[in-house]
Order: sequence, then C-alpha cells, then structure tokens
Amino acid sequence: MISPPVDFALLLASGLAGFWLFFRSLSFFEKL
Amino acid sequence: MTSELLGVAGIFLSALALAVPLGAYLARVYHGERTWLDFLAPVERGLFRLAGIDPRQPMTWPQHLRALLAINVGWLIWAMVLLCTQSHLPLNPDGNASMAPDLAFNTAISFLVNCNLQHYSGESGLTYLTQVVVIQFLQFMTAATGMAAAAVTFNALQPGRSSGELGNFWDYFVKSVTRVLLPLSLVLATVLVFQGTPMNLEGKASIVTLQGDSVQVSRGPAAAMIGIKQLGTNGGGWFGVNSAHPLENPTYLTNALENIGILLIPMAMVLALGFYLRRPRFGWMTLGVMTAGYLMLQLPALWLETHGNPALARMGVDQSLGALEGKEMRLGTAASALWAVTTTVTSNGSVNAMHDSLMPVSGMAAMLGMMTNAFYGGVGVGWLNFFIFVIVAVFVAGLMVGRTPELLGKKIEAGEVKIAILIALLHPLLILVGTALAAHLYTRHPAELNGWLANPGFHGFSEMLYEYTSSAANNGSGFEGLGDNTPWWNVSTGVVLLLARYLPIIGPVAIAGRLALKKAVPDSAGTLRTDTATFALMVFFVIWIIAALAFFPALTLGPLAEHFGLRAG
Repeated sequence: MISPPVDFALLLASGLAGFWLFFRSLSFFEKL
Repeated sequence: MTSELLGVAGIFLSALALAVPLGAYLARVYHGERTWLDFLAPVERGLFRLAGIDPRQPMTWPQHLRALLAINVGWLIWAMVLLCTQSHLPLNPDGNASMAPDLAFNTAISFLVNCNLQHYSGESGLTYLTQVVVIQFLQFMTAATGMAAAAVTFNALQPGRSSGELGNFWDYFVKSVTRVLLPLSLVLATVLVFQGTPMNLEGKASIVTLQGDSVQVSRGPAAAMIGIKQLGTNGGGWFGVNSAHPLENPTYLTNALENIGILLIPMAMVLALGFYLRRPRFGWMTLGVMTAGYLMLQLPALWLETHGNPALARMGVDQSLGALEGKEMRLGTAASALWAVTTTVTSNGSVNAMHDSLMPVSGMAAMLGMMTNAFYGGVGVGWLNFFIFVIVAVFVAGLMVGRTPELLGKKIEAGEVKIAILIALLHPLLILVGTALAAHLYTRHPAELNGWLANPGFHGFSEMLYEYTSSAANNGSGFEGLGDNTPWWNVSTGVVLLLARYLPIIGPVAIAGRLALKKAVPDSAGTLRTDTATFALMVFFVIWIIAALAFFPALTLGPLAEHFGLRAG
C-alpha cells in the first residue's frame, strides 16, 4: 500500500476497470 | 437432544411451507398481476417519475444488463467514498475511524455483490450513518438486483415466446424492493425489536456484569438491518459476531425466524419460476433437486455436531450436548448445525456459531454448500446458478439420446453451452487459483505472514480455502481464525468477489435472452421432458460432478485430512 489517497484512487480505478470488463463482456456473450 | 432435532425440523418445514404461497405471490408480482400490495403503486410511480424512467418500456437482455451494471457502478463509488470519510460525517456517537482504502475497497465490493464478507467488526469499523446508507441500503439493493435478473430469465423462458423484449429492469427491481423485501423485512425487524434487539441511535452503553466487570455494549439501529440481512441472503452482521451476538439474535424464537428468513425467498423464487411459466412441475423439480442437495450436506453436519468432538471425548470431557466449542449454549448444537449449512447453501453468510470450530466434515459441508452454490442459493442468483447446470444437463442428455437438446421448447445450441460451461468453470477457477496463490505466499513467507492463520496445517489450509470459497460464492461467512484484514486478503478477495458476482449474472441472463429470440419448437415424442424425476436426477449429478468434484483434491488437503487426523487421535 502506498498512501491513502493514492491507494483509494488505484483501488477505485481497479473496481471501475472490472465494470468496464463486464460491460465489454456483453457483446462477447452476444456474439458467442 | 430430541427436542433440539424437532426444533430444526420445524424450522426447515416452516420455511418450506411459507415458500409455497410466497412463490405464487412472486409470480404474480413479476407478471404485473394484481396483488394486495397494489396500494404501493403510487410510491413506485413517484420513484419512476423522479428518475425519468418509463417502467413499461421493454428491454432486451443486453439493455437489462447495462442498466444493472450502470447502477452498480454508482453504488461502488458511493460506498467507497462514504466508508473512507465516515469519521467526518454525522451519526458517529462512538467516534469510530474512517476505513483504510483497502478495507473500504473490500467492504464496498463485498456489500455491492451481496456477499457481506466482513474484514471489520461492526461495533468499531462503521458508523451508524454508513451502517444505514451504505450497508443496509446495499443489502436491499443487491437482493433486488438478483431478483430482477432472475425475473428477466423468467420472462425469457416463457413457453412460446420468440421476441427479445423481456420486460423492464427498473420495474422488476423496484417491485422486488417495495412488494417483497421491504414488507417482509419490516415484519422480521418488528419481531426482533420486541425480542430485545436494539433500534436506537444511542452510543455504547456502560454496564456492570454479574461478576463486577465494567463493559461497553454497542447499540444502534440494528433490528432494521437484521431483517433484510437474512431475507436478502446478505448475511453481514451489525455486530462483529453476527447472529451469535445476544442482541442480534436474542432468543430461540428470533433464531428460528432468522433461519426461516434465510431460506424463504431462495426457496420461493424457484417455485415462482414454475408458477410464472405456468409449469409448476418445473418449479417443484428444481426445488426437489435443491432440497436433496441441501439435505445431503445438512444431515451429516447435524449428526457430527450433535455427537461431539472425539478428541475432547478422549480427554474425558462430557460430549452429551454435542460439540459445543464456538457455539451458543442458549441455541444448542443442532440449531447451530442447521444454521451453518443453511447460511452457506443460500449465499447468506450470517452465522450463529463460529464456523472455524465446526467439526471438519461439517466445515466441509458448509464449503460444499458454497462450492455448488446452487442448492437454493442467493435470492434470484440461486436460480441463475442452477439454470447454468440445467443447460449443461440438457446438453449432456441430448448427447446421450442423440437428439438436439431442447429446454422449454427452445433449442440449446453451441453458443448457450459455451456460455454455461464458461460460467460453471469460473467458480472453481477463482477459488482454487486464489487458494493456491495464498498457500504459496504463506509457505514462502511464513515468518512475515504468521498472523494469517490461527491454526497452521490442515486446518489453516481450510481457513484459506473457505475464505476464497465464501468470496466466490458471494456468501460472506468465514473461518474466523484467518487474519483477513490485510492488503492481500482485502484486495484479492475483492477481485474474486467482483468477478464471481457479475459474470454469473450476465451468463444466465444472456442464455435466457438468446433462447427468447429463438423459434419455439412444439413438444413431440422425442422431446426431453425437464420436469420429471429422471431429469431431476440428471441435474443433481451434473451439479455434483462439475461443482463438487472439482474441489475434491483441495478438500482432501484441508477438512478431510483434518477429519481423519482427529479420528486417529
């Protein structure tokens, strides 16, 4: 862990990246 | 002991009996038919008008899922910001600190995905504001999310339909809250208040115990949260020790009602499916398979917990009341064993005893409940998990008899089977990879990480396996000997929680949505009937082969090795 504000930003960004992946997976499941 | 066993049988049968009318009611709610709670319609219309939503606008399955994911993104930001700033916000009479970012990440995701894994203790880790507007709020929202996703599949599987318009996500979502979760929670919370659970905004009370010690007793608006915690298969406790705390679960009556609350909606949802499709036998087949799986896990746990610990018996300790370590005397071993399996098969995760102290094979039964994750399962998502196994079973049965697989008049083709297999294998992948990484780290750095495990060896391995199983099943219970409030556990289980929630919702909704678009095939002599005992048996074995056998090697290293070690003395 680095510093609280940086940790917060990194972790929130990783959570949002997860959701980006889920949004992208919709077209994957549509085409499969 | 006989009265204890009669008690647990009564609890289970009461849940089953109540699930039947609730299932019929849920089918009416999702069909948009008249119900006795229609007087709430103006409230719902007001909410829709406020949000600019037309609840009659039909959505396709990708539109449903985009709506579901979008609102979940908003809740993630909301939860993380509030948890990291709670010490500066009102309603904090005990002066509790804000969460560290890694703990806030874990907690926010944990409650966002209906898991409620808690790497903090409610008394000191949260304020009353965050307990209510983050924790309790998400307990309602995530339960409704799962129910709405299940309702989309109900709509998609209607026999004879061949259109992609599957109702409106917001309509299903809001009605799940207003017509089901809120009224039922209100009833349970009211009983809890009368039985002694706190419902106030006071800080800790100072009391002097009978032996003269001064202790601080936490309070707060707990009863309102405990109702939805059980009914929404959330499980996160107001107090650190969850429903083993005398204020969170004060009496045998509250224990019975909370236990019924855990089972009620997951059981009712599968019956609702049958009623909704006008094929009640399909609902009963699903409930039958789930109940058979549940009893296969429950009965050994009941036997083992009520017969005591052989290692303690060899030391001359009386075991006539069963294996009491980690259990509440006032509830007894049978009620604790019932809860342990009930809470793990249903993705609830609340506890009334410490699972770390269960007999090894009972602990394995709890783990298997989460590894299969389809014997009742979470509200709404239990059916979605089961649906994946139904698709696999239909496919395997089709191969066996040499016919194109069909489900409810729709052909199951390669795309649907690929999605089903991907989702079915994701669960063991997340659990086994997570556990392997943690075990590798621990064995490489035993001195630095010695705070992780209270019991190294077989039991320590079980503690790590349980943690990832609980995360992947979105369950939330834990073998609490694990020192889990560390960056590794907070972040790694956070990632598992996210992946294990949304993909297993997206997959089944996608399959159902794809099926809805297909032309219906009329039943013929060659149609595989999916509401028969033969098909039920097929699904049952598919679940055990795919879900349970994948974990057999890991279970031999943990609970099974511990069991044989204990028996050998």
